Amino acid sequence: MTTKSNIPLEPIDRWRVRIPKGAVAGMRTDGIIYTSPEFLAHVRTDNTPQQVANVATLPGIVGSSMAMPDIHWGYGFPIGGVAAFDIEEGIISPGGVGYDINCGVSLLRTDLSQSDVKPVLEKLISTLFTKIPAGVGTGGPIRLKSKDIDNVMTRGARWAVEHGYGWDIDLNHIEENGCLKEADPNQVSDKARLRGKDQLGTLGSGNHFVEVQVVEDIFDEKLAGIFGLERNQICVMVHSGSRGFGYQVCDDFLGVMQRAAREYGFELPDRQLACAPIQSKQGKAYVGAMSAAANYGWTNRLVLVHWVREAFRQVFDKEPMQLGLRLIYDITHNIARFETHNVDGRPRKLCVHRKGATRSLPAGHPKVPEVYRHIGAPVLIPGDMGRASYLLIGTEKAAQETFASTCHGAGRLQSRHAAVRATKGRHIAEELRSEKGIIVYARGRRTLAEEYPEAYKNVEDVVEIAHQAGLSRKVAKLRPLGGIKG
Amino acid sequence: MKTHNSSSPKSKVTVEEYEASGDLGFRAKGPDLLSVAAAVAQSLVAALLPLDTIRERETRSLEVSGEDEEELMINFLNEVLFLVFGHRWLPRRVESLTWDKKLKALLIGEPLDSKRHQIEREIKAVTYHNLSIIHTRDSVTIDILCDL
Repeated sequence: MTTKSNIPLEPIDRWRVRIPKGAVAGMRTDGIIYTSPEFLAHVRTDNTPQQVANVATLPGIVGSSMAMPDIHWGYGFPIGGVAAFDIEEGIISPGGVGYDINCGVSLLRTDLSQSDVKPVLEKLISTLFTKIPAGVGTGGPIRLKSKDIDNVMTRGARWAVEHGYGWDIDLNHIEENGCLKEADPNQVSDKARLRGKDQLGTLGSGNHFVEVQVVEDIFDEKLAGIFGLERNQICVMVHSGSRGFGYQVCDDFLGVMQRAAREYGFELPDRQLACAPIQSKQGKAYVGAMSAAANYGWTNRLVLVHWVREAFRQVFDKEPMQLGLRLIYDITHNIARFETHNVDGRPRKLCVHRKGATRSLPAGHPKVPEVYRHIGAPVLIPGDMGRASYLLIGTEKAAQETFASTCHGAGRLQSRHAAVRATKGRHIAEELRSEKGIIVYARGRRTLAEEYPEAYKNVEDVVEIAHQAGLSRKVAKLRPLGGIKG
Repeated sequence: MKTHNSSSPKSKVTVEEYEASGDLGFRAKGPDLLSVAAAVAQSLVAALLPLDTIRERETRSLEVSGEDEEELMINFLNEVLFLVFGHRWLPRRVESLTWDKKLKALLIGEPLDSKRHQIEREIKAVTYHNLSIIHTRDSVTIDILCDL
């Protein structure tokens, strides 16, 4: 919200400020925001410091309540919020995950260079637009029967592979191999099932996109080589989540958690922080349903990756395998997961909430897929449609300071209304085409107006803070050539 | 039991749409809770697509409960959203609302027809954030925020 925050923000170093425990009644720990002196003024005008402090009041929080450099206002937790809770004493909160459970990003590389794609770029974007269902509430060609949807919930991305919508090797390049074992379809409502039955393999609307990108800059040649990347090479990024299925799970459990919070006598500073003890029946039920939605999200993105491969096959008249359309990685940035982290020198099992935050695991960590264990987990940061996106790598410092977390995107600078007002009379698609040579197809003009580049902070600045603060390390910068939006 | 019918004087309810942190809010004031709730529900649908594209062809009923007025309001409005995004059914207006132990609504509208109806934006949910329901002697004001 836009009232100026009176919460004290004490500088710790160049990239961190502290909200001291006690700044807000009931805080059990400090709040820490990763930011820069330049961004701090913006953080202060938002109500996000209050939200970081509110999270610090929740029972069982371990370490600090944290916010990543792309912090902005969210429901309950801020976007960019990271908080870990003791699995015996702590809580789990849908407000710490968000409505779009397992919203995330896939990055594909190709063997194609910019010169291969430029002559057919228009055809490629238009083919992607035809093949990929996008837009508000849109359904797709896959119609799930009741048993299928249960299998999606329990098998996750493997379901897509088993049904011809992905490659077996893809599973080794997805966080958790695209499946949380805690998924429990019995905890998912009929309403969520209804919303999910025809939305698998659909992009959605808002900030979700499929983008054809070119590697513009490389910061670490060795790591880029391991990912099979070099300058001028073509990549494809997919940004989507669990669609209406995930929204419904979140909404269902906000109601459950309102009652649970009353039952357990929690005094919450914000009803959107409704929560239950992890070990309670409501907490366990949410873990089961949220994990099911997370698995739906991974399946959804892998089906979208399949449509991307099909579009390339059609345009280049070659098998996707021959075009080298390999998945580099797939990450989620809206989720709560059980993870082990060192706290005060000893390992503790925690429930880490990341809402608009990406996991940043260092080399050697057992949760990094085997193919990348010697270098660390890739971190994918999507930007706006006119500037850039980034590939980074996880770090030891993030493991030590932020429960292995870093930023997730650029973060909004303008509200959607303000963006629509600011672009009135302008043709965003035409501007992107004529000024930057970027071809964008969208279902609705309103989406383009709401998502025009200046509505966001420059992702470069956000990534630079994450890089300088040591939360993740830059590997490559990807510039958009064209894309589709809902 | 409290009742609101669509024949109740609508002019007494005002609904203001506003933006907050990139999302959509409604501030509505009227003579009683049910007339305001009905007006907010209609405004919610109007925020998705033009109401005049929805024909009054059939009715649907809803029934929701809640531990307090706030929960009741959130549950009711989220059910209206579910009609649109779950059942693909578009309510044009609330014909009647009654509130005894549960809130019961009768809505008039038609199934979504992709040839005639273009939903312009997604509303993920109606939220508890800064939700307020203020009663005075002769009016009720509801302030509510939706996540887009």
